[in-house]
Amino acid sequence: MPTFRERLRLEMSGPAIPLMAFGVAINLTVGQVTSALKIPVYLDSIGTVLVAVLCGPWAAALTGSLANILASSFGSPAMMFFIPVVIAIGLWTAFIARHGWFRSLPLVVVGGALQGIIAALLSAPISAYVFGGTMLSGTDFLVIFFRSLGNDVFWSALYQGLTSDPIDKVVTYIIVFLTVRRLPQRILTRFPGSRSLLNPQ
Amino acid sequence: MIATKLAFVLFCWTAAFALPTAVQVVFMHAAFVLGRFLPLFRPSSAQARRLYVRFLLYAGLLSAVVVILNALFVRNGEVLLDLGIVQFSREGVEFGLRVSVRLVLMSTAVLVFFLSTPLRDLAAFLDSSGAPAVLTSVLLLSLEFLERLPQRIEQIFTAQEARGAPVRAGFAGRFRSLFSILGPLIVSSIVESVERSHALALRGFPAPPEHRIRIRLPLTIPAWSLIAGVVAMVGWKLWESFR
Repeated sequence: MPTFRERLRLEMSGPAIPLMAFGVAINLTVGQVTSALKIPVYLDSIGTVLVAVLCGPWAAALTGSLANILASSFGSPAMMFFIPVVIAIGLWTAFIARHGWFRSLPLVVVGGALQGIIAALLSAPISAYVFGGTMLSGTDFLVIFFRSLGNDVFWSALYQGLTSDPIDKVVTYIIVFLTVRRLPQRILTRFPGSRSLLNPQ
Repeated sequence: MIATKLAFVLFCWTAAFALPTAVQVVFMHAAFVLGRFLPLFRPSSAQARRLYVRFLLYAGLLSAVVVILNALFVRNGEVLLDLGIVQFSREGVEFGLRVSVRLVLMSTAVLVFFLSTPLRDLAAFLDSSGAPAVLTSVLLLSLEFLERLPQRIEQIFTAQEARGAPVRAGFAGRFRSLFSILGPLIVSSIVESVERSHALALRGFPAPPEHRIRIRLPLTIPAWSLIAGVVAMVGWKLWESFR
């Protein structure tokens, strides 16, 4: 049984280092694709999910955190405060990937929906208590709409998250699932997470 | 100097929670002035300057929208203005102002830090502070990939469009195109990661550390003063809540 330090070293060595950097860059640039196609999803955790599946939880947590820090430096300062949410995304995704959920599409859909709910539950208190439900983004209008129905800030932020996050995360998970399935085994086996992706013989 | 700027961010974040809104407004303006005039906090490039100005305009505009929308939709308390169909409530205006000021103060502090600190300097600072080599490597590689990925996305987009992918069709067609664009992008990233790892291994990366990782943060007098301010604000807030 490897120690925590050994597992950490395994997760963050070899191809994992450039992949984490790619994960950060994909998280930050995927908006270019969704806006060009005019599809109303963010997919801004796709790099984190990819790293979680192929490398492991701590590599994914680092990828998500760095992506949010860089997003702050590029003009979206509020992203900094959502680092706990991206860490949870990394940990949850790696957890279900380790348990073989990324071998079957129905489990991937369920995992993505649960991930969306977890993300909404974690981001609602930050959004409500740090920013009063206002993030200077397009979803603010949804929060204000729920407030106008008589809900308080926390519940409005939570309803907004529950409305948009599960769809976004399910699409993210499906894209990663379909892509990873198409990878040749000789590439896949270079990553520490490959054992839980390959079907047991 | 980066440690001083980090202390400044910590100071502004604490102020955003510990101090009354009126004081936060003063600090918010101080942060604007620092970002504009003090060399330490001034944006480090022309692009950063443009981003700073754009952020100020964006923050101003959206703060106004937040205040107006909250005033319209939060229907508690005294009515400040009654226009027949729409009413502006006092509680909504106050809530909108409180939230906007806090958000803009915290965001300005973060943005002033990042815009005045080139990310390569931040990586060098992390390295000299004893941060793990993996962290700085990932940060620097991310910056390199961030410059290249938009071009790669554009190439894949054009290639898929030329192959007849329905990138301008109805919603279902565009949704299918999402997979045909992101698939090659992710696969090429994974394959390049494997190739890069060979190159890194050939150069002996990561070398085993010569000593245990030890965080070293050289703090200047202004940094200590800001940290003292943070401690004072937290102490005052605790005293207030237990009084």
